[in-house]
Amino acid sequence: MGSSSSKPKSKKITSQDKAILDLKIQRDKLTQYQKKIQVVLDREYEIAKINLKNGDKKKALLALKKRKYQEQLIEKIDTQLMNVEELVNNYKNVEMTRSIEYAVVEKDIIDKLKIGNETLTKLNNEMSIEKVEDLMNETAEAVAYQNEISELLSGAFTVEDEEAIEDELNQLIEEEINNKLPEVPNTKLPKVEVEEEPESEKEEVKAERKPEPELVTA
Amino acid sequence: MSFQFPSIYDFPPFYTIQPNFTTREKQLQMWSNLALSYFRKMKITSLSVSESVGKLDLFTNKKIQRQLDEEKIRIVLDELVKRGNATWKDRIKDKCSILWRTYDEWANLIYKWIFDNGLTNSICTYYELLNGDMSNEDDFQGLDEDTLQKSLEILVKQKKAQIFSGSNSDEMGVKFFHT
Repeated sequence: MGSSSSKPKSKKITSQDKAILDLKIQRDKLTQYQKKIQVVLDREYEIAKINLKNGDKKKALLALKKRKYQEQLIEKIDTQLMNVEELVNNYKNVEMTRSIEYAVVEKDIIDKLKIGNETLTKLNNEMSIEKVEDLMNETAEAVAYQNEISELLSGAFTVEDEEAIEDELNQLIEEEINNKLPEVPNTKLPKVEVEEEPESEKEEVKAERKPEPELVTA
Repeated sequence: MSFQFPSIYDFPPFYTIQPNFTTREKQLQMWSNLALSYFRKMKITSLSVSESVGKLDLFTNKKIQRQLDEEKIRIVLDELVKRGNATWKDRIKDKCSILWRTYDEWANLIYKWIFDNGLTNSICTYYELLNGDMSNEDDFQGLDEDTLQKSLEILVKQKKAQIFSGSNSDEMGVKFFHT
């Protein structure tokens, strides 16, 4: 009868489906985190500035280091996101060709999910704005945290990274110096006596315009 | 996006609940009509009373300096609930889902979109449906999550979809079927 409903497709959720969903959920989370961490990044920069103003170069440097670290995390997320997307697409292809390579893809998925979860955990640690604010505090707890971070980050950067951070700090310092340049004098400039001029100009204009209506009526 | 308010919106007594029963009926009817067309135009599918008071221009007319307070907003929303165009999400009547489309209509719309985009047999997360880049142009972007859930449940009943959760999180996803 030409009815297309001859093969009753199973409408169940397979373990593959679940794996795909996991991947997609991770992708969604990564995207959300990416949006959120930008706020932290901006705050970190502000804190570096404030510390510099207070003359605490060490803390300013630490804030910049943290910021660099967070930026690197974001980069990692980007690669990770691409990986995940690629995997999802790969999986679709595998499904379409009905090849038996799923086992290979599955292992890949599990590996990638693991990496992704690790990145997510690291990110989660960086996400809290309170911790960022801890850099501003002087309590023993805060100082301990600062030392901990400082140690943690000491091995995290390449030479170029370190240089980039130094550059950033120097730039901030320069900005700070520029801000401290002598202020523009506030006193009024001596008056120059030219106040009469605009008045006479106006009169001239009037004088010039007057003849016009006469022309019209004539 | 701006909404063209009807002339009644500038009529100060409109903002006072009328004591006379018949007048009041008429007034509430007009309010709920106005609110519904406003929500439809602005694509608002959920609302918090406490956050809208004094902020949403639907309930606050700066020109004539009149506004509905929380209590009156609740009266209007209650009227919408009575008409089946809204549901309260909590007991304290603060958060509200607005339904200018029925769950059935949303369900059809979502399924049609999935079908048109060749997404049958694939899996989508709720987040993706509501915030996805692909759904940017579509009506259900930013749709209230409760409404999405109820609409998807309808598709499940019709055997057009299956809802399931990820293996290590509570996040939900849905697989659409080709019927």
